[in-house]
Amino acid sequence: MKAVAFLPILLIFIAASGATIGTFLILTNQKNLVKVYINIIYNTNEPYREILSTLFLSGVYRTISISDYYEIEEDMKKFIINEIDKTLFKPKCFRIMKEEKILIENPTECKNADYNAKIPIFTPYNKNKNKVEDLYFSYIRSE
Amino acid sequence: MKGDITFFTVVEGLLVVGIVAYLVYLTVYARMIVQTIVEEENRERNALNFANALISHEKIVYEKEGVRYRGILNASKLDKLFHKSNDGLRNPEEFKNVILNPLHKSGKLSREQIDLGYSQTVNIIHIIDFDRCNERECVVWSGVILPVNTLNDYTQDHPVYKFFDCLTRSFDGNWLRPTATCAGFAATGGVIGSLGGPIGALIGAGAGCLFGFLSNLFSIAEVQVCMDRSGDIKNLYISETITKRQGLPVNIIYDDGTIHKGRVIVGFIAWL
Repeated sequence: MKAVAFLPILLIFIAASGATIGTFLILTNQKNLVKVYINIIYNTNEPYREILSTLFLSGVYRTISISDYYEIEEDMKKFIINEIDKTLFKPKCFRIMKEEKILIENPTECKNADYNAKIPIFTPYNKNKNKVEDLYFSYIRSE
Repeated sequence: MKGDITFFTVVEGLLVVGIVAYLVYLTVYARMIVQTIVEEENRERNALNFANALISHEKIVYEKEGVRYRGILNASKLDKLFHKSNDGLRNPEEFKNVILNPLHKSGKLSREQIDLGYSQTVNIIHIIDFDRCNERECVVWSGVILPVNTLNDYTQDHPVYKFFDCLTRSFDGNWLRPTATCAGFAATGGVIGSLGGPIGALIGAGAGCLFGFLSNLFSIAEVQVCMDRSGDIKNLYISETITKRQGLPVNIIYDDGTIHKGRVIVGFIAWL
């Protein structure tokens, strides 16, 4: 008996609720707007400029270009590390990669770098022929 | 009996609670729209754009066989355009007299000298040769790009003239203040730490500098007084590009063909 009596009450209640909600939404038609402000200071193209200016120094481009065939000498690695440390104000770490190969990393395990650049570099491929490969430069700035 | 808690009473209660929760959900959360507004900091962006344009400008870049090399600066051209300091502007008096003093014309540039710049903005440029920057010497080219067509327009009546004149007069040459207020200075060490003076303080300054360049060389009250005396300079804005060590790595090529690494740092003072 109680179940039979409860059912119409429930239906009436649901219908009333639906009518109230629908009327409320139609009448107000308001949207709750939450604004999220994100203020961006765009990066310079510092990583791109840094790797370019380093490549322009004597012997650096050639050394990196032929690194598939000749390992980069320790003195050259020290020179490059020193030059990058100077103009990037001693970054926490940086990494130079050609395609998949890590050429220079200082110190080791420089992952999740927030500054990145990718540039094309000519590398010797066959007799009198070059191919274009990707050179990656990434670093984490010191704060 | 009346007042007994039955199974259906519990179900009724749960339904009411559910409907109320559903009502709240519909009226509040289901119609909530999240709007993300991305704003760029235009003024800082302008400083960075300026630096990028500057390193391509024919007045300073190296040219060979009609080709201009972007980012490779010709030392001879820099000598002609900017004030060259072999001491990295470590001497406070030199900084005061060269950069601030409106009477000193060397390194002061109008649109006639270099056709770059924003209106109602003064650009301060430092180009540092890091291969010639150590404890003994530090080669820095400095310039101030003024919002005037010719230097003849930069007279005592010009608000920027009045502003810089006022700053020059209140300058006390105390580098300890910017150094002390910039927490990042001590941490940079090495080459940067050895620069000392304003350049060292400016470059070395990290996130600790809230107000940037001028407000660390001068108190806020001093800057405010000079704004008032200038007449037209209101709502002064000093870019953070210097204190955040922004700017761009470049090469500097000398007449004998040697190539050094350097950095162009551009800051600006803007007003409304």
